Amino acid sequence: MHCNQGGIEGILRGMDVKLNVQLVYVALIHEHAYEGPCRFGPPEALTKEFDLLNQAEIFKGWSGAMMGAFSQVPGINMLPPVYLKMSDEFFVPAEEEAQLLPTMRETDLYIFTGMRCEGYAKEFAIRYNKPVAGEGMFASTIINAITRARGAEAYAFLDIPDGIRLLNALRTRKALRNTRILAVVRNNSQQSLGGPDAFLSNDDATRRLGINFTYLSIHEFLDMLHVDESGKNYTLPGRNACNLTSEDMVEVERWTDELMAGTDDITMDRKYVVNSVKAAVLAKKLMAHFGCNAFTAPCPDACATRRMNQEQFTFCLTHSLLNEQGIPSGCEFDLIGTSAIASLGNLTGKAPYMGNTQPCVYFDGKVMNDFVGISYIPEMDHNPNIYYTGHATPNRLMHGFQAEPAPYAIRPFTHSGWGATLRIDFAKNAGDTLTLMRFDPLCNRILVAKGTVVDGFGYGTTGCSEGVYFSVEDKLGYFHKQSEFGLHMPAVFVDHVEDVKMLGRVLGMEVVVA
Amino acid sequence: MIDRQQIKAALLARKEQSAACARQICERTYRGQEEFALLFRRYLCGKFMLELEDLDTDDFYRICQYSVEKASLYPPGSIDAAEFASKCGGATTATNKKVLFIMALRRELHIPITVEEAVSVDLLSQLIAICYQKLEG
Repeated sequence: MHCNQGGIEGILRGMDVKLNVQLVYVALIHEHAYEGPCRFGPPEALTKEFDLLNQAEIFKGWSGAMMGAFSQVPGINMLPPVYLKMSDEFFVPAEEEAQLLPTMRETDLYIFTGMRCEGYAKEFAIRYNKPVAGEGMFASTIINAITRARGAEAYAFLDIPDGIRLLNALRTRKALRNTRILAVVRNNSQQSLGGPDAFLSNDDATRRLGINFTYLSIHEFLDMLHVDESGKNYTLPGRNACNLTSEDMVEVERWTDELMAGTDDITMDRKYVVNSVKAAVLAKKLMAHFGCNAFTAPCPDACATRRMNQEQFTFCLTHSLLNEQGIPSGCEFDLIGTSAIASLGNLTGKAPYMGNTQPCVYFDGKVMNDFVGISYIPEMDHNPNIYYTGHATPNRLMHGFQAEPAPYAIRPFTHSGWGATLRIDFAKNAGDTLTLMRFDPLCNRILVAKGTVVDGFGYGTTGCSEGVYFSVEDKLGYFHKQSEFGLHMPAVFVDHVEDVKMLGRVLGMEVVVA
Repeated sequence: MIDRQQIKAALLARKEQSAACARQICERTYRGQEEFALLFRRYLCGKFMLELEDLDTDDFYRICQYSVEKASLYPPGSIDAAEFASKCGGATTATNKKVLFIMALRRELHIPITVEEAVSVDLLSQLIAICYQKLEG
């Protein structure tokens, strides 16, 4: 079953962004046969003839291994590897370097190796202002140290898995720089009632992450839900707007049918599912219109207008469905959270689920704050380190965009029966590892945490009371670290802590591990 | 236990074996590609201290590896693993063996194999075909 219902027409997703990588082998060709403190061997192995043959063989083996491994990584585009000859006078002639020029504009990373390539790689990074990475025993540490010390961008990687981690992080950074969030606002563009733990400055977030924002009034959005009424909107009188059309409604009906056919566990009227799917289709239509590829909308602020009650939908399903399509979508106008969803989704190839993330406080068979939907579970009898994360916005692809979708239910958010939400029974994931992350309000640091799923909650209920309990190593330590970051922590399955650490390195951010 | 005299004698015998094959190749005593291939294989075995029956694969790198392993008595793959982990130049002894053999073909058999041709060789049969074509083509 595919979860890309509704298509992604006109939206360039972050996950579609490619990282262009150029392998560069610097071949040291000794002009003369001699032994000395850095070379030794039988006479024939000291000749220029030997070097020419031997270096070509090493290049073939190295580039073959790197190309074979890296070209399998989704989103990584390996350019044809380049072989540069350098004599034992230790400089790379201009005619050799010219091989690198034709693809320089699109190249995102140069990976260097080869004996004595370090000085050239450093100069290359500085001269052309291009990121370089060193591979191999000596090249990796030396290139990184001497290039970074001079203020240019460089990396070291240890082996193929570490290299893949670096490429994924760099691709994520590139994807973030191509991310524009359609941020639906009510009162202001900085923070919402549901998300006061916001960036201090969205401009700073743009500077540090590269993410851009396009703001749109919630009232205009809600008016555009009215089918075939472009030009008649109260908020945009006489203006052609992106209102849903009868043609769009064909897609809404189709998507609704598909969602309802995908589960036997549905406890709401179809007309209310249609209402929620309309919001998802309109969000995509507006993203395509404004050149956006991520979405957020306010929750309590929008709720208080009473217009959600009037239109009979919530944004919960929109967030679930968009995230499954690789379109980051965060609830409560949480721009930090939406940025974290974009980061984690691009980094891991999985659809993040963002919820309120809190330590469970419990004693004597009781749990505090059970109004959020949590309750005392048997694990609490013997495990003092249980956290929860929860919102009515789970998705079916937390194991990966290409993974088998998780079974789900569809239930209303409201007592009245409207506001479609997906429900996932996270109890079935007991034992799975979760990775969670968030940026801090200054957009200087990343918090990353991991835990082991112990149970789920809210599968059979309404409201925002859906989520997952997970066990962490140190609940109190996690809590105090998190308290410097904020409430929502997008999560995906499997341990990706090292991946997030690498992302922090390429973004130039401190990574706090909880 | 093999004594040093025996080792020396074995090395000299192999050297003479490859030298004899080289002479026959240079004098074109073979009739057709099949005979050339057999001579070439004997020449290779002399150089690599192998028997004809050791050439039970066409993978030329594997043949180079096996020659190194046989001489060193190390288990299959262990030398490559150790060298990839420790050598600064990135070349394995097996790679060097291939390179030195190509140089020997140039020097002793007067076959002008280019760097590009040498690098393209993955199979022994490929190498034999290139050499035959250069001598007879």
